[in-house]
Amino acid sequence: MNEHMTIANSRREFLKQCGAGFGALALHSLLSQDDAYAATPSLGHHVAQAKSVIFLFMEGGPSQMDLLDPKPMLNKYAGQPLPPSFKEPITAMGEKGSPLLVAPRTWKQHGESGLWASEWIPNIGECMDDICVIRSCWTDAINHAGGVCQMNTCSDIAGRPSLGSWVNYGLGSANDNLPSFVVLCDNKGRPVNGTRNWGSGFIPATHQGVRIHGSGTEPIANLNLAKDYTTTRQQGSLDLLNSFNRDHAESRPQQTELEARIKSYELAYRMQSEAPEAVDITNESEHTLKLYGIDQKETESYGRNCLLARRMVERGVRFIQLYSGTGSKWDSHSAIEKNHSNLCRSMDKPVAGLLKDLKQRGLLEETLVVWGGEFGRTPMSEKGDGRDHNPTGFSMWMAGGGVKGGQTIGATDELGLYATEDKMHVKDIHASILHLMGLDNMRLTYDHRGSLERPTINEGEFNPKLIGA
Amino acid sequence: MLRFTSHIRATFALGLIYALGAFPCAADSSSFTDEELAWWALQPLQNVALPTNPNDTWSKSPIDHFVHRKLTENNLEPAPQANKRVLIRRLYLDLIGLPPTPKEVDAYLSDTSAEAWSTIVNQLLDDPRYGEHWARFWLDLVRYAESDGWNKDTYRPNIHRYRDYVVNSFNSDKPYPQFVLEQLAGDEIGADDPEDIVATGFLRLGVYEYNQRNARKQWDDIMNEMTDVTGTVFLGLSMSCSRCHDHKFDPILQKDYFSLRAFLEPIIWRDDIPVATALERAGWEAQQRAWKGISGNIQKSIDELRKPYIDKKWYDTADKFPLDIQDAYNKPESERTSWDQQMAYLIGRQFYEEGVPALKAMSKPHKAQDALLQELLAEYNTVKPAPLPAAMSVKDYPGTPSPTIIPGDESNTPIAPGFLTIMSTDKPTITPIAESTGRRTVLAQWIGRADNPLTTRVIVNRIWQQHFTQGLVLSSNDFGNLGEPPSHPELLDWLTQSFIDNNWSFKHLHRLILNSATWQQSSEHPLAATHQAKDPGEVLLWRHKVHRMKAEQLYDAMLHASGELNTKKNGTGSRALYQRVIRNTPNQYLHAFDMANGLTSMSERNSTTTPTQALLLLNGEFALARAKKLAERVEKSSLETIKDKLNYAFQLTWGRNATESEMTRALSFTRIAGEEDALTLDQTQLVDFCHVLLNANEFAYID
Repeated sequence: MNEHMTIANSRREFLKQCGAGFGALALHSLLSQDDAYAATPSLGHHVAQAKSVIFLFMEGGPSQMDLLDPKPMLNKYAGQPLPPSFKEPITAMGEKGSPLLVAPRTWKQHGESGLWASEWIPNIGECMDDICVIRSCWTDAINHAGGVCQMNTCSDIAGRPSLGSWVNYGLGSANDNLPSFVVLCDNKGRPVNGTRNWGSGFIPATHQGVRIHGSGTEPIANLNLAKDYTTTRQQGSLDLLNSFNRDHAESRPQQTELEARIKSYELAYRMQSEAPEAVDITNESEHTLKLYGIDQKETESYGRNCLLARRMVERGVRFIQLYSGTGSKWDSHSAIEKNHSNLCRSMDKPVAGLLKDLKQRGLLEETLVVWGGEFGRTPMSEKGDGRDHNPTGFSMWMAGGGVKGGQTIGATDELGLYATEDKMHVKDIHASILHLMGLDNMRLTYDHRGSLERPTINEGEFNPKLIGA
Repeated sequence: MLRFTSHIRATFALGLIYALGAFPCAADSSSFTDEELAWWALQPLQNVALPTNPNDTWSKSPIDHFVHRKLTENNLEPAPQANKRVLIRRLYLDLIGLPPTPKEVDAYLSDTSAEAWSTIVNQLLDDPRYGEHWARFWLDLVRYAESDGWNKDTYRPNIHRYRDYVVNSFNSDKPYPQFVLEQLAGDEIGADDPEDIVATGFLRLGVYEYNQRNARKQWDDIMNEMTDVTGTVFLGLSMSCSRCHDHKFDPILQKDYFSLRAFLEPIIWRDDIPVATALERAGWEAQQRAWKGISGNIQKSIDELRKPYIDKKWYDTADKFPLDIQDAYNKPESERTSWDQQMAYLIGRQFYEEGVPALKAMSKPHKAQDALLQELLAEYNTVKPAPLPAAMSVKDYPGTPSPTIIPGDESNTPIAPGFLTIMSTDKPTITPIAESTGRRTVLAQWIGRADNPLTTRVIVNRIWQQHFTQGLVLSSNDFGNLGEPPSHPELLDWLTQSFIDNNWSFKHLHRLILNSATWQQSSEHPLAATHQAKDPGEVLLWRHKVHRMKAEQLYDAMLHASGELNTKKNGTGSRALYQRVIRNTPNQYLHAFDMANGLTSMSERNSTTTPTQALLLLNGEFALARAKKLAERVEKSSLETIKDKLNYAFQLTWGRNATESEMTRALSFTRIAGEEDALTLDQTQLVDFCHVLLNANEFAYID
């Protein structure tokens, strides 16, 4: 399988482009920026509003009954064991017969829709009229590796392409000078499973995600010139390289790979000027920085990533994933009060800022924002004051991109352990995200050496309630 | 399990094929339609005569006759033979994964004897670096990696022995049936050869999650994945579809999937079997006895002191599992089935993965006492034998094998080990061997039968694919109806027969291929444009395909050019093959150039071209460091003129001398500014020049 970037209409045309030398490319890049952003995206299977996805991933598994799914019965029966009418779940940590843990939250209904949010997410609460809460999510995996893998690839077993790769494969890039699937983490840590969370599995690596570092000096690995190198020095080398490569390609007609590789150096060169610009927020207004909480220590990191997500959306990036609590920090087997109150504070204002900013710029309608972790947490306690993993019922939400806000879909039982109504498996969630992007999860296929592969492994369905149908 | 609605949709999406009526899905159908029975890959090998054509002046080997006939039928002409310089570089990269050195190029060019080519082919086939290169495609197929995967992704310190076993197998030209038997059933062979144990590492290569409490699901996933890979690697079939239902497009029944799994069902993973001959084991055991003899009392005291803590750890470990798993574990060994034992193994692994904390829980006085006893015991270390090396291996459970049952089958009908129903309805005769069921031996023998039309074609096609970048059957991991039929069916049959007749020798196949005019064609063709219009996929073999080096070739070639490649034997060299393969943190460089991910069986690498790769080679440390070393090597050479030095850099990277025009550019790039007649080069510019050569397409691509 060979897969390359699109190449110029004819080799002659392309060589003419390159003929001016690499020094001229930077200028060309600056002049054509607007064109690049407006590049026509590939058409999907059906007309859709969403052009980009921002997936806010709460790594480790946030507690649904502490954020979005109030359970009065849980507090009433707190301290008692799970009633026998409930099927005993297999828990990841294997504690058996632990008592139910109180969720001591203050709940408030928000906006015209009156959707519930706890005091841990007051700012997101203000956006509830734009948000559709799905309370009936479920997944196959009880551990982080499987859960994170499934939320990214639809399967709890490693090896399949990530959702971002499928979107990238299905719709292509709207900006050649930036990767069209990017990942930002809120700390320097490594998420569970590492880079394969945004890997492309068996589809070509061209479609995999690229990790962007929002702070620091090098936004993309190997983007900066090595020590002692200057732009002029690199241009000299690139010009010589280009002249050698041109001779080489000219004596080998009908070998498009060679031209694609010449172009890849041109793109790399442009990326060196484009990517730093995309992550440079020095020209953003003070008002904007405040909106995202970049002026405050506890919200600075995620706030910056949320702002960068907006900038990426503006530049035509298709799929942006923002890890919150990178390295399974939402995992709260003990002391959930301290853990979740800190993490919620770091995430709440930035996320609300993102929603408000996208809305005021008219971008929310074409940007699908998804929020959630790899699973939720149990109503039963663990180690006295924590909660174990709960794959059988948890909450996520979506906003923008054609989603009807101010509504909830599905429900869990009285304690928040099992999803009961309108259950949405991860495969349904992925099928829905694809649908909102204009892609049909059964028609988007990749011929993996004879085996026709689909992003949701032949299952999963779009839930039309998401668009109020 | 697929839901019903999805079935309908999947079927609809592939409606065309379905409508042809070739693939009825009657549940548990044991009779097949004529069309199914006519599936090309299951037909016996044809006894093919070499095509003859008096006008054919091009062919020089049997392969060429078949290729020439197809070309003629399609009004295509073969490309001229590639020049000697191109051929020698292609050959080295093809057989040992490294380009030739300038000396090796000269040696071949100056050898004008008729046997020059066959001599060098044989020499490279005997080179130990041959196995290091050819092992890689097999390691891709078996999803070789050196870590557990999942979250903890623990390094597997012993699995590299399996990698080295594969290298050695290629180097010794092991007959294919033997290679298959060792990997599937090395433990059942009963020869006193530790390599047989190492070979069963094939059945250990899947991912494993140490803290998974849902042991039932984990083991089921492990067994299914092992079944999938076995089907893919040896049968060239994608079996996983038939795990949930009769295959929609191939006559493979759901029962067939579980019959294949049944061969593997009773295996127990073993981490304790030493890689040693009986004699070595006996010697070690004698030393161990001697050590125990003189230090036995101390060891007894230690054991007694630790026992309550260790018992508690065992109890706590097991207690975290669901009750049915605990039941299996709590049974006395004599009453366990193989599934019980597998569950006990998974609990045991958790105990050992978290081994130390048991002793951390000791009381202070006990800890002090333990330390004192350890000190006393250490005095006997001089008589204590070093532990024997161990392998990741398998054995069958010696007790009752658990039945294989199709999920959801309410009648709980056990599925016996068996072959694809369409190939043989005979039940295999399985006789226990020593302490094993003998099942896997029977499977391996069936795969290695000379009259097995499927497995024999699959492996021959894989070898062909490595030489030509694509197989005669393009879908080398899927010989089914969703795959591609062969482009040259008669050639495939002829080659397969020749392979079998020549003791299943891979090196025989290499010789046949490398001596053919087909392989020796140039990648340049005077009629390339019109030919490509007629045959865009270039399946009819009218030229050699220009292709980028694989990740490992590129990595090795850079070190080779800079003179840094260390090719020590036994896995200590600096070749890419010997870099650790950690599933969640792959080598950045190899990963960027499409190395296999070690998670699923990969029969064909992607070959992508991305700006990420360009950035890596332009700004990344690895390429810059090689450029510096290459510049040093050139500078330090005994060559006198700057022209000769620059030309040497061309030779080391591109395998040829610079043209006049290239030399002009090289000189103006590297000369000290304003000193046209200087006898030395600008050292910084020389590094950059070497960097350019390493980045160039001519370096990265093979003609």
